Amino acid sequence: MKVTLYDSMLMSVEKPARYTGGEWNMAVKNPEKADVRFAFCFPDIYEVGMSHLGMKILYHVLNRRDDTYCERVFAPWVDMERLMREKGIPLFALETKEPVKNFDIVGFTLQYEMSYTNVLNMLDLAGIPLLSEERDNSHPFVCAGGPCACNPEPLADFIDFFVIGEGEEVILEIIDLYKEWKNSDTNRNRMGFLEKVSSVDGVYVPSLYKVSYNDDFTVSEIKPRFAGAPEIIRKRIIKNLNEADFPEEIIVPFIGTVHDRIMLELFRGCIRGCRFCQAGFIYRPVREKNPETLYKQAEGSINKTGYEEISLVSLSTSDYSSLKEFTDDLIKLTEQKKVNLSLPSLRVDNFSLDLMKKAQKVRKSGLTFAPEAGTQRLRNVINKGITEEDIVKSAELAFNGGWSSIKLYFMIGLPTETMDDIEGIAQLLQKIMDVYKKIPKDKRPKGFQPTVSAACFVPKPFTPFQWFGQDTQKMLFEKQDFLRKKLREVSKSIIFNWHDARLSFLEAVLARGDRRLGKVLLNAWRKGCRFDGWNEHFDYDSWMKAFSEENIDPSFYANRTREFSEKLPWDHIDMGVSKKFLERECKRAYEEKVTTNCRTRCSNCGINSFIGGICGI
Amino acid sequence: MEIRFRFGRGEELKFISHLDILRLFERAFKRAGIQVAHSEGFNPRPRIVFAQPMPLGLTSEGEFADVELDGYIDTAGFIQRMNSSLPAGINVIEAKVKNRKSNLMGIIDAAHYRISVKAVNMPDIGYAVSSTVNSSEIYVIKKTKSGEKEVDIRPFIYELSAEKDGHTGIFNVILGAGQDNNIRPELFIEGVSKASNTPFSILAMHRIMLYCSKKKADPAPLTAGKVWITPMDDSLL
Repeated sequence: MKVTLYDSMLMSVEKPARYTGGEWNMAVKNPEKADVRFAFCFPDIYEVGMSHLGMKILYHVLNRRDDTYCERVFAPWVDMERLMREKGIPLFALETKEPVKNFDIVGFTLQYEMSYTNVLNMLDLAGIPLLSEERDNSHPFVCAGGPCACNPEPLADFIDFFVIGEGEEVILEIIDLYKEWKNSDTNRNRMGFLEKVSSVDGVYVPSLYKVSYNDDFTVSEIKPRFAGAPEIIRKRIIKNLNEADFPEEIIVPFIGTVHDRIMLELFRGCIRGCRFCQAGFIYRPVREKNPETLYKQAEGSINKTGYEEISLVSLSTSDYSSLKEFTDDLIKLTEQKKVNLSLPSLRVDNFSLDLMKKAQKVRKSGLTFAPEAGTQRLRNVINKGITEEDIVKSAELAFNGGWSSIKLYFMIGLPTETMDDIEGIAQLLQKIMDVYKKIPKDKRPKGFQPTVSAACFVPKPFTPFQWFGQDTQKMLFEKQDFLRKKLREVSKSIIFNWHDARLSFLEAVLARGDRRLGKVLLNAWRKGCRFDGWNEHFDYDSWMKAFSEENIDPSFYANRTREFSEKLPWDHIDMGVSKKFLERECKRAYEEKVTTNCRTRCSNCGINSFIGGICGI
Repeated sequence: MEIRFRFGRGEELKFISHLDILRLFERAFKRAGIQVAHSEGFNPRPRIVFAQPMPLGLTSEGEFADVELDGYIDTAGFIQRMNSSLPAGINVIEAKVKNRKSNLMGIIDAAHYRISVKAVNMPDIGYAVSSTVNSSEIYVIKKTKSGEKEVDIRPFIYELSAEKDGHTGIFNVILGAGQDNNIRPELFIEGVSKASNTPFSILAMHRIMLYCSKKKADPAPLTAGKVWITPMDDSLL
């Protein structure tokens, strides 16, 4: 049964097309003929969710099956939520407008810790009990995956099972198993399915595990309660991306989205090993698609979507082995099809500037540099293999090439950081300004205005900094103030953006949290917390109240530096990089030693033996 | 070559904005493999011109656009290829080759609407019509980019009739449209509500056709009974 969306409702909310579906390439199926109905939930609004490549891939993979109908669900914005609650309209899927509660499997993607309250809110709007233990056979199974699932513990109370690692193969195995369970005549038992699915590689059923704690609240043990559940859950990876299904007929939204373009994935993983970057570790090893596959996918996507822009997507596009050959061919295609080619995450050098000039005949978009830290010493600590000379030189090339809009990304609160390192950011900006001023007026672009963005460092699981105690908010505020002052001394024209340290603090809590945080999440949600990642809805005070009511000290998770010997809440999850390697890397960081990239020399991170062979680097 | 086409929008797509419609057509042309000519210069734009934006919530069977193409396509092929590349809820109804230079936006003078309304106490709908038609002036507040101003919409209500369907009233009306005297259906309903002293609220609005007046030079407001031509009229192509 469809939900009824009254015209008067849709006319009174912001961007009603968020809720009406019907876009080009949307999967249209007879729901009665689908054995398995899958609700793919993105815990943020339509424009954010529709920009996510992972969702497009899994939507495609699932809908290729005749027996399965995968539909999309997004978090309704607060105006729509209010009307839905007023009129008793449950959360529904965009394709059929049917309530999510009637689906077989409800799957969330966890891209960001600060979307966890939205997961709870969506379950509530759907009319599905929030706690896994309160669900029965009349409810869908609730699963979750995505990068944040590498530490699933804070959501363990709410999610029936997690999918660890890359989803496109394992999700099909899960569907098969579910179908078998659903069609079995015997008394179907919810736990029976969960026990069965726990034996699938990459699946983690938190209710089948018991977590014990020491007196100081650190974890002492994580053990399966059920004999069939594995002690260690190993992430899934796709071995050969050339053979993996990649969607060409992606949905084309009517309204503008954050990334409103074709996203062509060049490769997964990253050879760099920047020590702060979780993606650089959890997506190992590097697996490239060959240029022939990519060209075919680019052409297919352009023809089947009509998109005016295509973007090359990876963690570090400059590291793609056949970049020059591939882009030479691709540019011919995009010119012929009048499609714009966008090239994010390219290192700025002669080659890339030349490429950008060729690709973007139209407008010169801004250039982005990510030195991440202000001094060479600190860049060595974080293993950001980029020198000051590189940065200044790149800036000079950019000015000479006519680019005037330059953004620089930094993090503050990095391990071993001192005020000298913060001042280093301002000094680096001074050098960039000097370079600009040295170029004769008639040869440089007008109106140079650099933007400096300073994020607060959030230590993440499966990185060499997973043991590190985050700077306190007070320290972060002081560093932000100091940086603001120093940048103003350099030039008043510098635009300075900084992150809310309170939000980064909460992110750090949830990123490295354990199961005890479940009750805090529930409490905070009950106090109205949702859309925490959205400035206008972030309610820090309610969060702090929730912590204190549940008797949990958030700084235990955010600011405490762990011993290497401590059992971490995510130690039963295996992302392929060994804890030993991370510890080695952590020690090298404190010794300010750089580790070479994977292509130059293997550092024995463990992924090699994990995939049972040699990384295809 | 240049083609003028008429298209319609159904319930499925009535909640997307004019800007979304532009983008939708650009992408549909690409999918259809129909090469649209682009403007020269710094920021080349596809040469597509729409007669009149559609307000949110409006369905229509009378929208028009001009498109300039690189290369040649017959109009039957144009319609067929577009309709297999457009999402459900939007379709091309007719197309003709355009030989004359004319600014599509500039030639629109009126729009024919069917507007369904309700009221707490639904009156004799004929009274709403007569009180509107018999008013010599109807002032309502019109919101423009530069602020609010009071305008008399009566001269731009060209034809009006109504019927009652149960508790729903349906107005059949031709209103001023285009660049100069555009009266949105919401504004018209406000005017009728005022003239008949009955607060109506809109249930649905549908545009049946956009019209041009034959005598563009005639400065006098048009009156009922005037013969309208559509932008598809051969005299305009």
